[in-house]
Amino acid sequence: MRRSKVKPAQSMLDKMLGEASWLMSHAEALADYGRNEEAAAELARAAACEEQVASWLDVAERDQEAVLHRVSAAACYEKLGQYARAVTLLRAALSTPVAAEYRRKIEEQLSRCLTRASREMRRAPLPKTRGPIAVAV
Amino acid sequence: MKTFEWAIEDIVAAHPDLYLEHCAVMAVVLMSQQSASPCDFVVEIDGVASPRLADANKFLLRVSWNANTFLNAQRMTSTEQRKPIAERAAVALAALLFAHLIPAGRMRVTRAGDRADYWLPHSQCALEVSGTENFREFARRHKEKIAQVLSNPLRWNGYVIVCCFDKTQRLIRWSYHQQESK
Repeated sequence: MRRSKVKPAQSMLDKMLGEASWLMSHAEALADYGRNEEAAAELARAAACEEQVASWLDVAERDQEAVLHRVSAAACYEKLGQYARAVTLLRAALSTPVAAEYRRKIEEQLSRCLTRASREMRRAPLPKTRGPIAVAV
Repeated sequence: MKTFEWAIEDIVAAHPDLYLEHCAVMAVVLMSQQSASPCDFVVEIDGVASPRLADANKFLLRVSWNANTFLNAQRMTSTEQRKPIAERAAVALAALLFAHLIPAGRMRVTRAGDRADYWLPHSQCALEVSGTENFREFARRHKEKIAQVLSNPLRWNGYVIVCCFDKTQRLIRWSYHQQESK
């Protein structure tokens, strides 16, 4: 009984890993062809898929692979100019022990994204002040 | 010398986790400039275990393509930069080799900063692929890729494939490398 429960979960995870990979390579192909808007849309889908895959790998206790996919999602968000999201993912990736050289690379990526995120924050328009809330009496 | 002849279009069905149509087309861009279909490559192998290769340390790879891929390659020639073409063409040839010679050789990709990292998850191996049109870069590129594949984040063993599309030398070096601590 137990075996039949594990198999579908593994196969679902495998399917999602395959999907993330396909989206990533498709985004790259679209960029190669200069179809930048479509490439960005596909890259956003790839990023979301990689994030989800990372969470499932956490559940499956495949921590090192989860880090890899979180960093991959962060790289997509960085490419899309969504630096704050990349920062969150990179910080999460760094919470797992990884090889020193890889950690250094993630830290470099994090520092680059932090710089860009704070630049982006300074440029962003101030949020509109909330108006009075109408209360029904 | 052992000879294998395969169609570059085989890679599309063999690797369902990758979008490889454009890589096949880019491979044909380079190959068709040097030869009619099929195009020959000498493949030097080191440490690669495949039931079909037995103890061979090199073989001849003949890569063919169909009229439709050739047409797409002609369209692409005018628009693409050279470097991405050589890199993607190398990915296509790597995908062809794994599809036919390595059981469980399905490839996947992740992103690491600006570059793509390829994996063979079912055999738990990393893969570094590179392509050049200049034979003088070939040996150095292979050496660099060995260092890169061994520093993969999962600390898996890895394959390196470097393809040379030089007019005078069409060569592929395919090697397997193990982590020292394993």
